[in-house]
Amino acid sequence: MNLFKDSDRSFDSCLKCTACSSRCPVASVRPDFPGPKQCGPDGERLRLKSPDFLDEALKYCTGCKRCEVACPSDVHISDIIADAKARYGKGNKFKIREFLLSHTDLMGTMTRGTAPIVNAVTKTKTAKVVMHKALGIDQRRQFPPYAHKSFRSWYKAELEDKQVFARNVSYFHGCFVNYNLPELGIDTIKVLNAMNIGVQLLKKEKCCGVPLVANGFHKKAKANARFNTDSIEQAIDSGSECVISTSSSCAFMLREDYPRMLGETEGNPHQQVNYITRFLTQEFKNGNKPELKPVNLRVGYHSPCHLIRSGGVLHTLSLLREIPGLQLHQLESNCCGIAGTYGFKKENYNTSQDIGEPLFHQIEEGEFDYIVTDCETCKMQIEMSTSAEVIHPVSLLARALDV
Amino acid sequence: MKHDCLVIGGGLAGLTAGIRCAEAGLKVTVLSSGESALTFSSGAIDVLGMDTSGMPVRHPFQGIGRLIVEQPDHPYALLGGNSVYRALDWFQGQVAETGLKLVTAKILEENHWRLTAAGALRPAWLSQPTAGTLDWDFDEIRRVVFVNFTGFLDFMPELASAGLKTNKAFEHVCVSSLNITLPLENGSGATADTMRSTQLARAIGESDIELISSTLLEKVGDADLVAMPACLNVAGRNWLEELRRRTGLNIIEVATLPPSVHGIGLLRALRSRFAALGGFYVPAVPVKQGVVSNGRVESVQTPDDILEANHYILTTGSYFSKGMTSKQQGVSEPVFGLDMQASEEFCDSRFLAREGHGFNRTGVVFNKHLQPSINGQSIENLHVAGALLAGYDPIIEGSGGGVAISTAWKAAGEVIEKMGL
Amino acid sequence: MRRLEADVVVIGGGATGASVFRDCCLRGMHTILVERGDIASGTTGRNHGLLHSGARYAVTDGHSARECIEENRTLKKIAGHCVEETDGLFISLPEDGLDFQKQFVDGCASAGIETQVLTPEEAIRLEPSVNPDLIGAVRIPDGTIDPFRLTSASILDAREHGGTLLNYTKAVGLIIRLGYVQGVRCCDMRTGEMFEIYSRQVINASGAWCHEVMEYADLSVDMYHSRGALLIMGYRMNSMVINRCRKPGDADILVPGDTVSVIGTTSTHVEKDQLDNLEVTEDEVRVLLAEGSKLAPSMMDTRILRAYCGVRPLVSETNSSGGRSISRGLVAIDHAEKDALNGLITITGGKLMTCRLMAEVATDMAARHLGVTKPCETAKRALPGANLPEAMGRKTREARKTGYSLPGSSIPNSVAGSAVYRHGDRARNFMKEDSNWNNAVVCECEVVTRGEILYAIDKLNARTLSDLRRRTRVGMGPCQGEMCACRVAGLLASSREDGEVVLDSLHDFVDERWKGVRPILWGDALREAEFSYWVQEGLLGLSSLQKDEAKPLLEIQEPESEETQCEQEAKQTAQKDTHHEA
Repeated sequence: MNLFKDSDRSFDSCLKCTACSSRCPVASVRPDFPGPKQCGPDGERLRLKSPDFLDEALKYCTGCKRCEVACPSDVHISDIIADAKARYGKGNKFKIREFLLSHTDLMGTMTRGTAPIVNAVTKTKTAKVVMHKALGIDQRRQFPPYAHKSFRSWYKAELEDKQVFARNVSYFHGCFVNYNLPELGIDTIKVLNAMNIGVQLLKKEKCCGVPLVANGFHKKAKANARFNTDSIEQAIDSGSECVISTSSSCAFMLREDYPRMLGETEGNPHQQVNYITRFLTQEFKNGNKPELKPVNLRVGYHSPCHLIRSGGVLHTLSLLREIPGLQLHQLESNCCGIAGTYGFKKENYNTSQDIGEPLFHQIEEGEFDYIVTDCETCKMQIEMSTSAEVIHPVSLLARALDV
Repeated sequence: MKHDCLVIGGGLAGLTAGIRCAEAGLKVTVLSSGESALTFSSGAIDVLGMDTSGMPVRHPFQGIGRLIVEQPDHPYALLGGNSVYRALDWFQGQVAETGLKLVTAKILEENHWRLTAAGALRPAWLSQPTAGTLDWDFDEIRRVVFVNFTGFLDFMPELASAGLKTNKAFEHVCVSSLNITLPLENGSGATADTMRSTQLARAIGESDIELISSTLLEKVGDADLVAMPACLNVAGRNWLEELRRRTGLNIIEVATLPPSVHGIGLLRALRSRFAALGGFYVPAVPVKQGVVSNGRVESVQTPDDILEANHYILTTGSYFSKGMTSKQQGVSEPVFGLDMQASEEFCDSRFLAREGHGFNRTGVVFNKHLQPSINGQSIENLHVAGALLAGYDPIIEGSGGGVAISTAWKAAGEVIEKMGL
Repeated sequence: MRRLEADVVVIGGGATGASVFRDCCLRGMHTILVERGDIASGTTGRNHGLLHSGARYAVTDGHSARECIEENRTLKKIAGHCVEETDGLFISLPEDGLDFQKQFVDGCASAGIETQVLTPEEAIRLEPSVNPDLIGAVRIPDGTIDPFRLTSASILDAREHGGTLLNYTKAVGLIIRLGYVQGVRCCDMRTGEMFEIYSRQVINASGAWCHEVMEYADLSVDMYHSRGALLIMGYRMNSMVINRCRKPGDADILVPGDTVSVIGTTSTHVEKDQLDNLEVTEDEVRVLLAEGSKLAPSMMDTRILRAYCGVRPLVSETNSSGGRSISRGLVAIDHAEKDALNGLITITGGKLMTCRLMAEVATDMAARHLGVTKPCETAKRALPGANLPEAMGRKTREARKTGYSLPGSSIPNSVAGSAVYRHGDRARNFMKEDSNWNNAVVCECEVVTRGEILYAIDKLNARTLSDLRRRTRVGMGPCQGEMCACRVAGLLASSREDGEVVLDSLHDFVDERWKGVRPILWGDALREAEFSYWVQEGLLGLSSLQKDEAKPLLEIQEPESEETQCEQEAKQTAQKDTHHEA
């Protein structure tokens, strides 16, 4: 099934300059991956002759979109590859794994109330071996622990109808905040409340669809897109100024990919979605800046691939620049290697760790108090692969609010 | 947040301008969109390689003096030879701070030759340490060997041998080629024929170096110059130095077909220097439009934002990076709609014509402060630098690197002065 | 002076000459083909690559239409790897009305061309790129044919049946004694060597240049040279051929050929002395784009890779009356009958579609004079490469499902598939599992491997980069040879040619590519050209390696009296090579 409504002809602008291939994290560690140029724009010209020209090696693409960032011609290389995989590709043998890894909201719901047990079990050697052998999920991979209480239930219990502010925004918390890291959601509310903005949740939300797309569940991804779009429209109609997200990947999906998946939607609801740092820098610029006390820390900033692609690094950097006392160092841009669910698969584990190696090295060398990053899976990967503790920019900002 | 200075364009000129601003303590952000042309470059910096009659230039800064008399609209005319020298000297120092020690010819103020993968010689001012600097005279050279690793496609030793032999100075020099089949220790089982230079650089390991050095000693131990594809000095592993040490041979690295390990290395060094000085480098932010009123840039628009700064430096490059766009009707500067100067003859009938092509000389017009204009009115807080400028041919003159660096250095200098620093 | 002998000398290595060459060899005649440049470098390599169904002529020229549909079916049988059965549409736009459609369908019916009248909706479903404003469409069995591949395969077959190809050999005169043409005086264009070939029949198949050969015998022909300009678009925009359903006019055919689409043509007269200096004009580009985008509107946003033009050799009917005019298109002249000059046959006019038929007619004439009775086999016998076992992928609609692939191979589909697509079952000759570096992709746009390049050098008479382009598509993609030209030059230099010749051929190649880009030098084409310039001139410094350009003045060393070891080796190698050739 085609992911995007219109067929993408941007490959026609490819100058064959090799910039994408030279920046591809996968190609740099796997010479058997012919790289984004050959898999994307070159391959697409061939596939228009006949689908027979589809190469097996496309499956190694992580969808990190660094090729698109490198491209001087605005070719949607990563999209072309994802689309070709879905359109011409055949299934693979780890269907159950793909299903489990990609249906993050379902997995989260199933663990509700059983989080301590699930966390304990996913840590056991037996469970890891079973997952490795039967499912193809690498046994060396650490699973993110599930929270004992979901963010949504915390919100319902603690906050629903209790905030009284003239201005309100809606928060697309996403699966990770809901099931794994409610603290980030709580920090977000704290920061926004301090700026006299109330935070509402969407009436309902489903997984944004990033892992679904990555694993070829395009139909389900589109269904989720439609579902979430309805929720967004509803939120805007009932008085929210906009919808914010604290996940750079969810935000990218909602804002950039939904309109292309669903076609034009009346009123352009997707344009109302903002990644949190963009929203905050705009507020700061307009004078709505809370009082910030110094945070005397030395932090390294790691820019996640999808945030780079959306141009959002500017916002996060600008925001962090506002925190007094913060010693901020922009790490040399390098993919961490996890690429969402990619690094969980046993055939990709080594590739994933090899890709991240230069980043891990920088982090270990840098003697930072924290690593700051916007993306939940980058956090998982860096915490698993280095000794560093990883914090979201909003949580860092929340610290600056404290007495 | 208001930036002191926004640099639009993250290539050689943009990063140079960014580094100079950051060094002066300005809050500077470089907005980039698409990979810089440095990625495909030799990683060497040329200042002036050919004079107007097509003869190679031995003393580039003196050459600039002569050039700007003949071509008063040339960007170099704003600086003069001495300032260009200062800019290049400063640049070399900044790059050296990152550990990359670019080298000049052994003789003061002289160009050296850079050997190409087709066996041509092009004059250069700064070269990567492992690329070496060929002296202006070749007295000592009796035997040259181009060495490739079997299967690797982006270095052509047989072509390079033929190319070098066309040069009269090498008429009586023995030029040959040699292919060495490597096991590629870190290549995960892949072979060189599937690799680009960046991958080959990662794949080479100790056992490969051992094989290369023993083969060199056995087969070409008497060579005066051994040229190899540039993939032997990357990520802190300087295999080339190791090879020089083990064989005692004069081995140099020659830039391969794109991507170029040396070019990427230089780009990385510039980004890292900029970050170390506290500058922010933001990729994937194309600037779509600038808002200008009363001869000042008010703001610039990106797909997502309106950004404001006290000063702007435009280093968006030429056609490749869309600093200039061309349609069937003509060429324009897309962000601000700046005044352009087009060459009368847009292109020559031969691609590799000695005279070069008019499209290369086409660009944005500028005043002595490097301020561009719209409908004849100069823009006070906007400066332009690099490949976007009109009036020079970076390739035929062999001046691309020098113009990018020196004009960016000057543009940043103008901003710093205005900020009262 | 060197002297060769043959039963037949064929002059001209285009599609027609190659087909004559093949036909003669298959009938057992000892044949030499001389071509002044490379095969398919004239009109053959400069057209649409359209496998006509004949529908285009159905209303105006029923005879040509019948000829076309017959040859269409024959070529599908014998040249499977050169042909794609895409089918075609004849669309009517509002400004055309539907009146012509009726005549068109009737004309097709009487020529034996199957048609299917479609609603606009059906047409759009079949071919999404078609102009959505269309008011009607007719589906017909048009297809695409690769003229380079067809020519190359014919020549390969001829050579495998005893023929000799002399490319880069110009026929500079005819040897005429006592009213008999006894052979051809030749010049080796690379060495300048003059030599003679004595033969019993000379077949002049030099197409648009056939008057030059006839002049050697003081004969003349009233040729009308019509130039046609075409544009190559960046990718395969359409999957079916799209034609306008009206009287033939400018830019009314859009053909999906291999990885690109081709729009053409214009038609203007060109003088004889300008045949070798054709450049596409700005006006032609404008007309092609304006008219072409009426067939497929997306053309306006699609990158143009290059512009080129060819010359159609048209012969006026009145002048061919003395010969055996089979149709308005095809002209075969037995000069023994027409001009009382024995031993010379001229075959011209016609079109790519009828090259096999033209060859059959000319070869029949020659055979009669030589007393050869073996009948023509070319309509039945598959060309080399076209013997595709089902699983190797035939370009028929049916077999498309089985695909272009090398069954049981671990080579990536794009690589193996491209080789099979271009060379059919002969792909096995150079694409093997145990590759010895040969499966390395040299040209990434068109997926040409090192092995394919070496095969073309060894087995398909390729001597220059441009020759290799015609045989493999190297450098024909969007980048127009920006990097692969240098890679291929490296391979040529390492195979058999001497370095200087390779450098010349690299420069020729670069200039030839540039010639096609100049008329369309804006937008992405300019960006691509700038990038190529950075690589070829900025990075590699190629301009200083041209022999006719002044070299940078370097201080020249005193020549040594003794030869260096290297030079001695080089000489020895050169001597070896000479022996080998002898």
